Amino acid sequence: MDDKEIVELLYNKDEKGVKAARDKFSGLISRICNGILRSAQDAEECANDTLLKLWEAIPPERPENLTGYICKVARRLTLNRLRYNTSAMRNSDLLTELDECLPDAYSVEEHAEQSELSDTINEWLRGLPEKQRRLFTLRYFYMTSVKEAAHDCKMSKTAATTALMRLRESLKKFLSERGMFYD
Amino acid sequence: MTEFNPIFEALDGLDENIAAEAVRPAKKKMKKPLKIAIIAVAATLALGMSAVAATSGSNPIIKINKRQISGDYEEYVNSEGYTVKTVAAVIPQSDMPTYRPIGKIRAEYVDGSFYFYDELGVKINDIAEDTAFYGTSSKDNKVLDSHAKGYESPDYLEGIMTVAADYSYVEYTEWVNLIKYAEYKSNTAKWNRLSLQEKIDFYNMELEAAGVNYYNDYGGISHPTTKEQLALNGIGHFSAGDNQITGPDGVFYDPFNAYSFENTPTEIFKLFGFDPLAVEEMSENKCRCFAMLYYDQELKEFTQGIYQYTLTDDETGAPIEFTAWHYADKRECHTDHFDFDYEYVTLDSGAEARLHRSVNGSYIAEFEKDGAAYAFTTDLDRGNVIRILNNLT
Repeated sequence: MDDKEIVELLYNKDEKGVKAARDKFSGLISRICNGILRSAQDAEECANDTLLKLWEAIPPERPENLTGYICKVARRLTLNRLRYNTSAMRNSDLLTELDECLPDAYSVEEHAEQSELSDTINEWLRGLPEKQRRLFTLRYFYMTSVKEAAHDCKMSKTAATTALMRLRESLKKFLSERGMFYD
Repeated sequence: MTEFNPIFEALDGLDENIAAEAVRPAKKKMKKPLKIAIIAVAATLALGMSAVAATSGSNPIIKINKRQISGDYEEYVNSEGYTVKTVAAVIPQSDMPTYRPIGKIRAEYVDGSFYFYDELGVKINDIAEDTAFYGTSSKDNKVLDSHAKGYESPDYLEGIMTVAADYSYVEYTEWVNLIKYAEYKSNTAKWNRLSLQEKIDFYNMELEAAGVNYYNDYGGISHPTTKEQLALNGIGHFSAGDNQITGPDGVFYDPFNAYSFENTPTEIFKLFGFDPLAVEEMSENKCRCFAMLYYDQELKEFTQGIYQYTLTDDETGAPIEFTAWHYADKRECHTDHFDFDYEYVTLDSGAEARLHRSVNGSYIAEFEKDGAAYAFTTDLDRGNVIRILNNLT
């Protein structure tokens, strides 16, 4: 069943839509949840919550890209769980990497609303070659390890690490040019 | 509640298309082979041998431990259009414990990458880190140095993949790996001479080349890609727990166990414009199957799995080969093989062939015999074969 059909079923509150979504996306959702939480039990709960959220959100929402929509929902719910589970996340290597681009939330409040920042990041991402865009998204949106992201992008780990460093520098420059970050 | 980096938070508003793009397989563009003549090559191993292959005209000279070996080479154009030269090189068993002594190394230089195979077609993956490969392209007489190309991994395949990735040749490299594997397996006699360990090693290479290792690493599912795990679970039994692998689209696939291997026509790789992402095999009694999943670049999804079956004609005992295309719903296509049941189908010739099929998989199977193509579906009654297509190609 293609994504549009699933969306239509969900939009018409047909429970077959949930089943179809589960059949088609359960693996993807699990991948996201497990990638972030690393806890099978929590991940499973988040995966179930994702499908529930899908059911609740459609309608009124009618996503054009169901895969992307589900990914975002899964990530959002999983991060909420992560926030709940731990207070040490801020010190993780992954997130401190991004501190190079923008040090803290306070800076954002000074210069931009989060939505504006999202738009800017999207703009920056769209301007990247696909491979680099995938690498950045896998690493910082899906929180996959560098090794996994590199493999997915058909790069060596070393090349991916270097590319990510350059991407962060590029993002920092991009944000600086738009007044969202000052050294 | 923990505060995350604002960029991390802002990624919550990531464009859905970008989010979806990242979890789809990367576009795989098949590179057209460069018509570079193959150079003379020699390999060295960890014991300190140094090998230098220098070409002078068309006659390669190999040096191992300062001992020069020359001559005794063959040259031919392989199925991909490359000129291949095989050169003599003696590699002690002790240096390649998983392989028998190598009489010849077949070396190929393809688009910036080196490929080495022993005389049986097994890719050599134990080349030492300090190994250097030299040769001269007959195209432009340029001296090629593997080190200069960033070839640095002690693991041959990994090295190739690294080089390939760095030079954007990975797609073709993967493809070549799979092709070579298929070619090797096409010779059952050669394959059968391998030890179990050698088969496992070989299969590991293929899994790596196909990216199966990686895609199988999600959802809390372990993937027995180590030799020990494979040995424990059987060759090709990718996952330990529930016998599943996860495709790059997040969909679970149920691969088959494979305890032996069967003919695998190379042509199957070339039939379609799709890229093979995973190769699976199974074998059970008289029915043997070689399967691949195909990813459609345009549709951006797996569209079909191609299964090369070998059945046995119960009347004559002769093998009957056909290819089955498993469409659309991969979950159905790859149902647990333990649920498979045998079904007999009657060919137009009157011969009865045993079909290995899924009891709950609704696939279309097609086969070709005597120049005619046939198709049948599993929802037909036993013995029924409907002639749907006359020319599948």
